[in-house]
Amino acid sequence: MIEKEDPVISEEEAAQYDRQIRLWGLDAQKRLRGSRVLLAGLGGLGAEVAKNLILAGVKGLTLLDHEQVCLTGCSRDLMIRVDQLCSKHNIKVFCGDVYGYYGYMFCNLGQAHNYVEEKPKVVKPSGESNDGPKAKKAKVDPNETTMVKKTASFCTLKEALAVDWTSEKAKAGLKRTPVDYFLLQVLLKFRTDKGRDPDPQSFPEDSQLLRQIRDDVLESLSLNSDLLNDDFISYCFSEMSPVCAVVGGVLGQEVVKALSQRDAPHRNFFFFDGRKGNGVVDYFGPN
Amino acid sequence: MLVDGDTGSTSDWDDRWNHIKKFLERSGPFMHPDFEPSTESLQFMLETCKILVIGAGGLGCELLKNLALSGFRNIHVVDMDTIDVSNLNRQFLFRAKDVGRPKADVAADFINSRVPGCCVIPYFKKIQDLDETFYRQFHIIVCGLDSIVARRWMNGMLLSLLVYEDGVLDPSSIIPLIDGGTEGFKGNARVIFPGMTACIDCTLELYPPQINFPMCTIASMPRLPEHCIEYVRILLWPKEMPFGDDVSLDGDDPEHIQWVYQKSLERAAEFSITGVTYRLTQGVVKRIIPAVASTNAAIAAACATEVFKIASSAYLPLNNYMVFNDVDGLYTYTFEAERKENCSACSQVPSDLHFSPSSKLQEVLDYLTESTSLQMKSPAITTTMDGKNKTLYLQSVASIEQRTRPNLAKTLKELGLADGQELAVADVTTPQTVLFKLCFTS
Repeated sequence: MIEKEDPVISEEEAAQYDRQIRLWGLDAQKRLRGSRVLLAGLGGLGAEVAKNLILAGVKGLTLLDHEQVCLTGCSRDLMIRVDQLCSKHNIKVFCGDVYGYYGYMFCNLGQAHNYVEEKPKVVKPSGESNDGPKAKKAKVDPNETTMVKKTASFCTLKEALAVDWTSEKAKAGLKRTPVDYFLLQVLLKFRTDKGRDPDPQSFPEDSQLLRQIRDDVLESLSLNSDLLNDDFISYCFSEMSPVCAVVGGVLGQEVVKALSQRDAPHRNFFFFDGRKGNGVVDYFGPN
Repeated sequence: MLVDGDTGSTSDWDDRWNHIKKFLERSGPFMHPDFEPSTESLQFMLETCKILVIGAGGLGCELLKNLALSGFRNIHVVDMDTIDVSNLNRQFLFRAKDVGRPKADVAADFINSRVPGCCVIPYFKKIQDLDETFYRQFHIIVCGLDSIVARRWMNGMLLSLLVYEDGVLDPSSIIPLIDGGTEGFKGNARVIFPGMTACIDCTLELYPPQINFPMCTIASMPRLPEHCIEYVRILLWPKEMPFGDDVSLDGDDPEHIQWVYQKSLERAAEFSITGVTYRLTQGVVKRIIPAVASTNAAIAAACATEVFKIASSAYLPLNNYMVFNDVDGLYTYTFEAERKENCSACSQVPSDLHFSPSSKLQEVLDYLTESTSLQMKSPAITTTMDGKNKTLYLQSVASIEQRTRPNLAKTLKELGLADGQELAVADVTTPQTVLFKLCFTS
């Protein structure tokens, strides 16, 4: 929630936040200064996100966690309910989790999220060049930039997770689709069925269940079970702290962008594979 | 919070290192081919492994947090800076009350109180103030530096520790160097095994050139507000010396910046240029680089993961250069940087300098500073003649600079240099002198 009145940035704050104001501008920092954020879940990922948001300078951060320290995240149903409730009240929602080496982030910024991008003003070339040979090397940086207004629309988490893969068009797009999306479906179903995440203490049974769930999920989506091979099973237990740092860094930055309404948000998923060191942004939802 | 545990020296509560044990005490398909699960790796990490963190700033704070939480207990940290208020948006081991104190000291205090059993030893020093006996004691060195010159120096130091026996590198003399760097929304992390993989100087040309505007633009044809500010900084200040004859421009003095700002506005008005602000003025004068917590978190995480992998020998390290960019969407890529065959730092090949005997010493100096593969800052050139050491040119000591300056205008022949003569060059970019062989062209 962002305050309606423009908060004032004191001189001390301007000095403290100087290095990031140079990155996203004073207006963006003011919006951050007036925003209140609710952070649900305080595992490894939650801790990193909390750190990044507080350092960014939000007005308030409310921490919500009902679990013991070693248990994790919200169930799929809870996330969907919270997401729907927030959409109704125009509250932006972010979800994220880390499962072993794999992490993801999802956001729903509403049907019409307005933001600005700073773009250089297009300067028509003057024809003559009296700067001489040296200037040809230097980039022509126009001295004016302009704020371009843009709008992006987001779907709900429910819609994002309920994509239909049976159509010809969807099947054709499958090759370009990150497998991480299906992995997420498997891990969310595990959480729903077991009420917890895969636990190293029950590695053999949980691995077995993960394999089973993988088969079930892909079948229910009418997809081939070899779309997601067995590899992931050993690597999705517990929370890898560097993966939390990477996903927490990206998630924190996305919250900052959304609150400050500056720069294009990742739309609408970010997946991170800590084994490969790969990050990918992709959209899942109704077209 | 602390419970009697089973490890002797510090009280580790039950299950404290379970998350690490999962990596080190069982096998898996992606482990290093030579790795055998055991309890020894964890013991090594907790008790013996010594890590040096260079820099306690944006990357350093994140690195110290990550390493301390991952089980490393013998950590040393070097930083020559004190805390500034502008650091507080990302260097989270510091608070407003710490402004003015040395970064290394405050960071060490924070981690030592926050992570039981962890011992961070701080050094409020420049890396150049420490010698090879200091650096040799570490198993791994990880850098979060903010200058290329410093990186090259560190690189040179670790190369100088390498031991060759009959031309073969002794692997026990290699200290892995993990280097991270960030700037705004961009960053990179790389793993260097000195003497084996690409070093900092091997990939020197990858660094974009520093933005130095051409003098003609600054002096007569400015287009950008930055040109106006550089005009005041480079040309007007030395001419007007507004705060006294010996007073040079201090980026941290608000009165100085205010003066530069006013004069820049006047200059900009002359050329109808908009955009000169106090903040921009400060940024240009101090060469400020924007910085944010999130990029530092991601890059430091990559570096800390590599420290863990190498210290435990349990996984194949990053091979070997990762870039990260979330300016627009998110891009990350890892590639294998290759060694340069004739790298001036790590190849054993002494470089040849090709000049005609009638070339002036100034031309040699220009080559050393301007060549993209050398990029020296203020090289000092010496040689041996008739068994005695002779300084041909040295900039850093005023009296010697004055004495040797006439040599720059002399030809190599006039200076008595012969074909095949060895020149020893010292520079801030390396702790060891670099040897060159003079090859006369006709």
